[in-house]
Amino acid sequence: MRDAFVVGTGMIRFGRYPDLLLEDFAADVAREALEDSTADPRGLGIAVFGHSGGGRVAGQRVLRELSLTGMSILNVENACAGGGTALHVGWMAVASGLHDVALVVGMEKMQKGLIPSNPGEYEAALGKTLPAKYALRARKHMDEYGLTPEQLAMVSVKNHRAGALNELAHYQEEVSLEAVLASRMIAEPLTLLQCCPTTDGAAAVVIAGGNAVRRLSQQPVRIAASVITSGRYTNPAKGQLASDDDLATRAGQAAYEMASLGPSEIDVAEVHDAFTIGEILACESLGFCARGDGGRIAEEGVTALGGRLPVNPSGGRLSLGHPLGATGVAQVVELTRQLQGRSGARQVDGARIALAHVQGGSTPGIGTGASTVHILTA
Amino acid sequence: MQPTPRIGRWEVGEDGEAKLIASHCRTCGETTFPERSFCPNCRSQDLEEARLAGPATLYSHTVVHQVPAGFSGPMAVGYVKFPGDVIVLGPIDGPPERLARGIPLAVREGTTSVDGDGTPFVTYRFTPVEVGSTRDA
Repeated sequence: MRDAFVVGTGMIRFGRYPDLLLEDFAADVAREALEDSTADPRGLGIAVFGHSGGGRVAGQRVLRELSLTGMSILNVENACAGGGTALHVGWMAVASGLHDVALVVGMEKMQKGLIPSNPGEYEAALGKTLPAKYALRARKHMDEYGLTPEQLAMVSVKNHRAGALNELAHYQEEVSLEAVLASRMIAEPLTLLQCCPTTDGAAAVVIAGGNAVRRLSQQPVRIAASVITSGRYTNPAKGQLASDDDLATRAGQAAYEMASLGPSEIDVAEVHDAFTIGEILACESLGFCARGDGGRIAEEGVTALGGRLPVNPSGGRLSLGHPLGATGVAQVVELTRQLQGRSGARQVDGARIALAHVQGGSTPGIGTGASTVHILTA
Repeated sequence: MQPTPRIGRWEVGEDGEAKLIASHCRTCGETTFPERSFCPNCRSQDLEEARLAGPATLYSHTVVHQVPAGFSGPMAVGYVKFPGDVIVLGPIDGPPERLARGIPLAVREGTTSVDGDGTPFVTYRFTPVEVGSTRDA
């Protein structure tokens, strides 16, 4: 394996675009990423698209808009981890030496309301909605570690504060702790403002290796680790709930090992905060704090902009929005720009090492289907 | 037409109590609910039916306020523990404020939702023993 670098980024403002086709805004981010990298599109060996609802050959439909066809085009699906999965495939293509330049696009157009379950899914038929899954994880944390409703809500307050500074965020307004707690109950203890909105969006990166890197970017960002893992089957009839925390822990440990870095060396991170409890559990699983301390570090401002380890400076899923397949790529766009010093009012001073984590695909017997962790270095 | 979700089977006794039917693997001893056609642990097809015996207790739950089409809320859903450390997910009856970890639950037949034609989806439900039967079938 050789080093692979992010050499170009593109992203649209996340929001609701009922009048636009997925192809329209996804083609925009692909064009922007290629221009940012000054990549000659003819040198592109492979393009990878992460999405869950784009329909058949969505990647080809996007690249048709740029007359960029005839090379390898892959469409990959891994629910909320689809963008991270596409990045991993793009990284493999370049790091293996098979291709010098890869385009990775994450994209999604979402329906309003709850994400529908897969056909035949028995947990959903019994009433376990996706927010209910996270609510049960929050309840468990409250029972075991004394997590408070206020600590949960602080994650939303913090991420909206960051999102208010991000011109690409869906919701660019701060929210108060009282407003988060008083918003409509979705699944106890999670209120509306603790659940990600339904958002359309797309983000793209160009990944390069070998001699192409310096030709394409003045400020290449190295992909020090790219890891994907799947949830382990656990039999609930053996008294075990599917162990979601184990999934992120395993992905994180593998990434730290690959990068020869540890959690204390991370300067800035984007983690999967589709629900407030998600960020708390991710911070613990990735080693940003001890198990059980995820609520405390949010409350104390450790993970806020200006804190010791800012988490979700983009505004996170809660404020930036969470178009499923786009999210993993959007995180790496945010972190690449942070490491390049291009993040304006949200800039984390002196950021040199960044970590991106997504996980998703609620699945009976497995818990969560997939997780990816990427570590980037300036 | 969607395939029916495989929520598992149960049988209702004369007293109205339902017993959930699990698979027990004769090869490796694994118990699985809902049932399987082969053991997910050792892939043996040598399975026998096993009825999950009570008393069941509430392990963890949430009250869902935003419900999918066909459901009516707020509704409680959670994990229920059977003797032998068997955990089963299911809908839970009773006033939400009465639900707490460790309370005893009975298993009943009931419904969770109705489809577009108004046909109810029949399933098992858990009912707090003190509250008595609040089945909504």
